Amino acid sequence: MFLAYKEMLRSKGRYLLMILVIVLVSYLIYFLSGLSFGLANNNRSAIDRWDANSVVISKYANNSLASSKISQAALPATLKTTKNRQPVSESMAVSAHNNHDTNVTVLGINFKGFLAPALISGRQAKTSHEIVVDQSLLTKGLKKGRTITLNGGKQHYKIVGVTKNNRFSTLPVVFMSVKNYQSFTGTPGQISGIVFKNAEKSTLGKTYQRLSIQKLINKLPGYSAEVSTFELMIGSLFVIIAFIIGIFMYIMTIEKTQMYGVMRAQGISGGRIVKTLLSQSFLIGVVGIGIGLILNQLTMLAIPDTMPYYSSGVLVAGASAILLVMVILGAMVSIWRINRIDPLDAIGGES
Amino acid sequence: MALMTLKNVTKAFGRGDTAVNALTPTNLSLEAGEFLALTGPSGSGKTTLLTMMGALQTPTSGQILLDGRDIAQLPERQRSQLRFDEFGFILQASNLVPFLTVQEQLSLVDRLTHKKQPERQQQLLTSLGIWEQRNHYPSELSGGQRQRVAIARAFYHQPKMIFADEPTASLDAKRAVQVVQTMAQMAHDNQQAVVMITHDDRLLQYTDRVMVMTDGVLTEEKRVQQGA
Repeated sequence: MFLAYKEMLRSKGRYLLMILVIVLVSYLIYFLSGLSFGLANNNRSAIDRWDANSVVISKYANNSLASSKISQAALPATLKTTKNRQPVSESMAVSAHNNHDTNVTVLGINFKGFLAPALISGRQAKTSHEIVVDQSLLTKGLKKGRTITLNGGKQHYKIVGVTKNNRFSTLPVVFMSVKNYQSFTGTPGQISGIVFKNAEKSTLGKTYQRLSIQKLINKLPGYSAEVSTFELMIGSLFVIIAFIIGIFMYIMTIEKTQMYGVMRAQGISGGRIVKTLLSQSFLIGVVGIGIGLILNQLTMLAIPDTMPYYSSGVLVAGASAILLVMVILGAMVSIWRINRIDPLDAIGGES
Repeated sequence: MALMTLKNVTKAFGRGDTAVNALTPTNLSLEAGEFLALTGPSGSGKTTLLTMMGALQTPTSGQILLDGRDIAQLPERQRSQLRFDEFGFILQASNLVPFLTVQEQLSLVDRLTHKKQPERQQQLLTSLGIWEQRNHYPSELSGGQRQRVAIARAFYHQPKMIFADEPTASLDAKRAVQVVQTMAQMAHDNQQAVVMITHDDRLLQYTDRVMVMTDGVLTEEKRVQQGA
């Protein structure tokens, strides 16, 4: 550590430059992963709240819950509603109050079944035209007890309960009873799918197909493309930081070949030189990542609530650990170079 | 018993028909406290001999005994440890760590040996006339000062032998004489053996013994004893 520390103090500029690069890359990674996680969460949080195993939908629906239409009357016994088998209907709609429009996802559910949302205030819907909505819909003066209209219709729906973190395809969810939903959409006796709490075997025939919850989420419009784009960007950044630090350290190692040769001649082992290199990369990694973290925390304070940004401790810790590993991996490229240094190089002239 | 003894040491580069004999079978014996000068034309094999004595490379054949122990064919790891413990090197180019101050060059050795010898640092640097410069970096020193720091570094851990490869090449004549006199003084005071390669004949008078290398053949230069 003595050599590592002394060298960093003596050539501050170079190491500060490397720290700066790590700060920028780590900040970008935190920001992108927060955004990616937030957007993904916006797509799927309502489905995650179900805590279910799978969903059965129409075979023709091409893996899309919204496109699926199932007649309740025609359901075989193995798909009939039970405690762990609940009907669900889904469509997008436009909610309006005070001439203010918001896009929402409407879910028709059974408020007594396991799909009923966890409330942060109010109660579950009981009579017709009562609804439970996600907190994020409550803007522009809308609150519990007020009403909204849907898709420009005359019917008013009263908000009796509020839930949170219930978004579907990035939109806040409006929960209503299946009956209510059917009269709203003019599709009596029809639902979109049946949600299974647990794994169950049932013959589905040619009419139905089963989707795991993960597949349902992956098939949400745009979800997979979005997530994989972010994953690619974040993954590339991890690789890029390893390359940048690797190249930096490698060039600096080449510059110091003569000095390392002398050290080797003096009997200072290659292992000790490698240790110096690794402690330096560890130090700049920790400092750079630390500053990146602080910047990320400051950014979170400044981000408006409407921005889908979600930063979890586990996620940030994981990203930081990978970053540090990549920085050290980058530096490790130079080990090969250090081991090739011959103490004889230090002795000029004939040999 | 001699400190270091070379028995039929040879070095050949390459193999078979193309092999070049850099060093013909060489015998040499060195006592503690002896200051040996190694001279001769460029490419004659002086450095090859020095690096083998200094355990920087292994001879093709022959024995190199240090205190009776054959070090000729030790693996690099053991030779590295040997160089660290028993040898000091003063090289033509600056062999100082550029980002350590004069005193830190010595502290580095302390850290590696887990010792602390601040008194020795002061005594050594003072005797070499560079105690005032102890907080300077090598780039802030003159060539002569740098070479004196290198001497301090080489002698600091009290090695049995010092190997110097043209330590005065970058110095003017006056400084060169001072540096070599200092080395001779320290070697005699501490009973350390010094092997120095030099091209500067004026420096030979300060050494105890002069060997001449010509085309891989080492011969002792007969000379008239001075002073006495």
